[in-house]
Amino acid sequence: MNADRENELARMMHTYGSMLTGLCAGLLGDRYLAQDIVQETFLKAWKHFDTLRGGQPSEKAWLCRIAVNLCRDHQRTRWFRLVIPDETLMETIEAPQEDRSILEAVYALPARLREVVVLHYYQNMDATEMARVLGMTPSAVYRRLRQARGKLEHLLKGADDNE
Amino acid sequence: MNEDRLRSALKNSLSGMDFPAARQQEVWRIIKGEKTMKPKKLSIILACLLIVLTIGTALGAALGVFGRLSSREITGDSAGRLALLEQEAPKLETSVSLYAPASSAPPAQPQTVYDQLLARQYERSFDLTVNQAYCDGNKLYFSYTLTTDGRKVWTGEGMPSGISEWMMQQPGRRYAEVWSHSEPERDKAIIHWLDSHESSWYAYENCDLGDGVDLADGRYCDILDGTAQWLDENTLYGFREVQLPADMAETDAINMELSLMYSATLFYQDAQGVFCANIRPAENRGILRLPVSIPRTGITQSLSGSAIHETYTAQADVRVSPIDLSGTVTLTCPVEWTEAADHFKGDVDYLECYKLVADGHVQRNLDVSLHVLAPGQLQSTLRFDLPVDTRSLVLRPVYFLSGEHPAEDIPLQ
Repeated sequence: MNADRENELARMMHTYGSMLTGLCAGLLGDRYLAQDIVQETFLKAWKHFDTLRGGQPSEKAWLCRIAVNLCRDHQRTRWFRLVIPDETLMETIEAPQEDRSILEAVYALPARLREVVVLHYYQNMDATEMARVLGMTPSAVYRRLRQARGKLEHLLKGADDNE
Repeated sequence: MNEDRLRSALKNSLSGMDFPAARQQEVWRIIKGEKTMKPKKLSIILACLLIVLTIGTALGAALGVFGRLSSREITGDSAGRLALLEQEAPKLETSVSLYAPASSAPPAQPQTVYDQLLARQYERSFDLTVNQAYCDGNKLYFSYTLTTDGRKVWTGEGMPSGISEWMMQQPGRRYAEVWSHSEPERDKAIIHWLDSHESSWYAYENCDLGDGVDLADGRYCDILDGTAQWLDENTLYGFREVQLPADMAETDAINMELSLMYSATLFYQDAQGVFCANIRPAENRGILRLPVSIPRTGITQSLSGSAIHETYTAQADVRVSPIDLSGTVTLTCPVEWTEAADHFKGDVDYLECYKLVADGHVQRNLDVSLHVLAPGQLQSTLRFDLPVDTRSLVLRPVYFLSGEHPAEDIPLQ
C-alpha cells in the first residue's frame, strides 16, 4: 500500500514537477523560490493523499491548487509587499528580449490578477478549471480575468508609448 | 492586447523550467525522515506550537479596533462599514498565545548576523486577540490585535555576515529611492541609519496575519478588504473582510484557520546599491497556523428585482445585512455589449454598472466589476454601504457613454 503511494508520488513528480515549477515561477517571478514551493507542494500532497483519493476531480487541478495556495502564503506577508522594483523580478527567469515587456507587464499585475493570467495563458485552463484551482466561482474567474486583461492592456500601451 | 503574444511569451519563459532531480530527492529525504521522526514531531508540535485558547481580558471592552480604523484617512471607502461593525459585531476578545517552533537542528552559538537573526525567530511568541467578529454566512468580518514579545531591531556597519542569498537586489539605488514601508517611522529610521554610513545594514522583525482564511473543509476564502496598523512598537491591530463560499453550510460556527506570518527583514546598503534579505525558519517558512471558530452572529435579508426592456432584461439578487448591501445583477443583453465589455471597446454604450438610490439618495457602488458570463450575458457586481433608510431601494443603471438611465431603475423588494 505504501509502495503504491510512493509510486504515485514519483509519477506525480515526474508528470507535474516541471509544469508546477513553471506555474509557481509565473506567479512569484523567481525560479528557485518556485522550486521551493513545488517541493512543499509534493510534501503536502503526500500528507493529504487521501483527499485526492476521496474524489477530487482532477489531480492536476488538486496539485495546482496546493501550489497556488502556497504561493499565496508566500505573498501574503506584509513585508513582501514593499515596493518591489520591477527589474529585480524575473532575474532568474530566462526570456527572449522580445517577450520581456510582456513579462514585465504580467509581473506588474497584482498577485490575484497574475494568477488568472498565468493559469489561463500559460496553463491553458478554462474558467471551470481555474475556478477549481483558485477556489472561486467561474464567474468570479471571468471577472478577474477581465480586470487582468484591462490592466495588461493599459500597462502594455504605456510600454509601447515609452518605446 | 495581443493574446497570442502573451501566451507565447509565458510559454517561452516558463515552459523550460524543471523540477530538478535533487529537489525530488529532497522530497523523498524529508518524507523518509518524517516517518522515523513521527513521535518526536508530534511532541515538537505539542510543545512548541502551544495554542492556549482563553477568554482574554488583555485588551478589554473599550478597545474597539473596528472603531479605531473607521476613519477615511486610514481605511477610505471602508470607514462606513467599520463604524457599523463597531456597533454590530459581537465582542469576542478571544486570545491565543502562539510560540514559534523550536529549531529542528539547534545551531551552536550564533556566529554570524544571519545566525543571530534566525536564532531569534525560533524564540518569538505572539498573542493574538480576535476582538470582534461578525459572520452572516455570506461574509465574515473580524478585528484583531496582535502583540509580540518585543520587536527587535539590529544595526551594523559593513556587510552583514552569513547572508548567502538576497531576496531583492537593487544595484545602483538607495533604499529611499525604491522601498516604501507600511510603517512611515520605520522608513525614516532605516533611511537615517543607512544614509549615515557608507556600508551598513538595518534589520527588524515583522509579523501580521495572512489575508484570507482557510476553512476547515480546505477551501480558501479570499480577502475582500483589510488593513493593519501598528499601535506601538509591539502591538498591531487590524481587520479582515472575507467572502464566504455561496454554498456555505448552515452551521452555528465557521471553523477556519488563520495564518500568522513572522520573520526578520534586513536591508543592506553600500555604494553598489541596496539589498534585502528575509530571514525565517525553514521548518515552517515563518508561518504559524491557528484554528479559530467564529460564531455565526448575523443574518441577511434577500431582496430581488427585475426589469424587461426592448434591448435587455435584468435580474437583481441582493443580500442586505446590518453591515452592507451586496449582490449581483444578471443581464441578458446584446452580444455587442458583452464584446465591448470583454475587449474594452470605447465606442459602444453598454450598461456598465449600477448605483443604489435609497430613499432618494444616490449611493456609489464600491465594486463596479462587470463580467461576461457568456456571449449576450453580463453580470454586474453590487456592493454598497448600508443606507440610512432601507425602506425604498432602487438600482439605477449607469451606461458606459451616456451615464445614468433613471427610466430603467430596478426597484428591490
